[in-house]
Amino acid sequence: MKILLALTDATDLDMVRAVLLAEGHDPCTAHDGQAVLTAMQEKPDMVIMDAELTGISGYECCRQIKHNDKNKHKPVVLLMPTQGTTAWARFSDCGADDFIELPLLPHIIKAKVKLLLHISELYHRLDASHRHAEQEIRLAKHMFDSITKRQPQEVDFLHFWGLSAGHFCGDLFIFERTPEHHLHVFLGDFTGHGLAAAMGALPVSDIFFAMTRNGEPLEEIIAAINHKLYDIMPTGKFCAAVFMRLEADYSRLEFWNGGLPPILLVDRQHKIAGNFESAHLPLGIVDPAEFALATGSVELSGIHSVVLCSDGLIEAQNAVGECYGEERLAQALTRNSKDSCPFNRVKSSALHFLEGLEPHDDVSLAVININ
Amino acid sequence: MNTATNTKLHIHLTRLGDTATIHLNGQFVFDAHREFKSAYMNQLADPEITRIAIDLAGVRYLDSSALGMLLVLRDRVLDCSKSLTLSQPSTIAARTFEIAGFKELFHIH
Repeated sequence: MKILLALTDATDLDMVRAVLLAEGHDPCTAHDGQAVLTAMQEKPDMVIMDAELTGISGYECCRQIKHNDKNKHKPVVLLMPTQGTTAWARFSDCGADDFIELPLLPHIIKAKVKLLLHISELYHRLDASHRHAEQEIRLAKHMFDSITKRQPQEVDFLHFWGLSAGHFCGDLFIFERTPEHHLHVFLGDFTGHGLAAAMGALPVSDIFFAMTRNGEPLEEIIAAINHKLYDIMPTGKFCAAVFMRLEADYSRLEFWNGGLPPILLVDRQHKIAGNFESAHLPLGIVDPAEFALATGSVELSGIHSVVLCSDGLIEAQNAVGECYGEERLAQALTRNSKDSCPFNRVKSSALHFLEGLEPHDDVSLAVININ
Repeated sequence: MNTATNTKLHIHLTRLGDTATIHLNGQFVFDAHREFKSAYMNQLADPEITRIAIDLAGVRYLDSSALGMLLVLRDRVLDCSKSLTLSQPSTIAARTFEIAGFKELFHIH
């Protein structure tokens, strides 16, 4: 390793250089503070210098070296001359990684260098793996965004709000019309976030769009998606989901809830007129042969809106650890308010509740206004 | 709120006859997966143990990865021809199992 040395005492310098050479390192030298800063352009792996260098002091050199983000994990060691409290205060303020007290002893130099280079190597590995993880998250976000952008058209009476627990919201919300103009809607919450969610979202959306455009019934689509996820996902990974089919004339809703909070119907008087609990296992858990498909169905006369959410909304916690909960959701939906749109009421109630906190699970809310 | 102490899942084991009970206290989330797995793997390997029970009375929160861990455990228990019970789920755990339809897959009491 290339190690930059700035030592005023010539005997010490010779000794340290000999120790480093014996360890197979490549020592280079700088005679004062300014020379240290210039020599940083040669990108040494480590710096060992006197705290009391002439010109720019070792403390100040260290501060300037550490100011550059690239040197964040580069070990800087100061050789501390005195036992004065000022020197130690300056040491702890300058951001150095370690110190060696004078007089110098060869075995201590050897041990410190070995230890600090080892720590520095661990930091670099951690950095590399962090960068790798971020690349994967960006890939996942790109894939996920592409899927939702495949939505053929906006539907003006359909509102969706997603709030992510991390880099992006991994709940999948998609919809499409059948050739007969019925509207199919899907909300899915995959186990885990990021890449895991994006991987599952690909086949789900492929099957959902293709079969809906073919005019296939909801039950066939649900069965096909469960089958696909059952085949490809490991045990323990699944997708809690709601499927809905809204008749072209808005007269009737067909629904299937596997593992998401209840689907709520709100009538024109702001009362909860329907509550359809999860009646099935989430997608991807059970063998297609044993999978329960039966959908429910309800007339929509007098209904103002259909409300869906992921459990991230119900379980969102505020600063004192309370959950948003099903009751707050029902209150927000039924409260008399100037805002007649349930979507806006719930969204503002949830944001108010969170007070700017990031939720610990993805929050999603979908509302279909029936008119 | 001190999240450092509140987020940790405490796991301990009791054995009575042919039954090993794994008691969970705290937040049952992904962070606990290694410790949870090692808690049951030893019991699955023990020929004297034929029944595994997961005591969920002290679970204050669980997420979908906890459900995933229970599904993985269920597969492993079935592979060993042993039995699995989810016992005394706390209110929040019971509600989560209800929504996830777990009563179709697990013996819960």
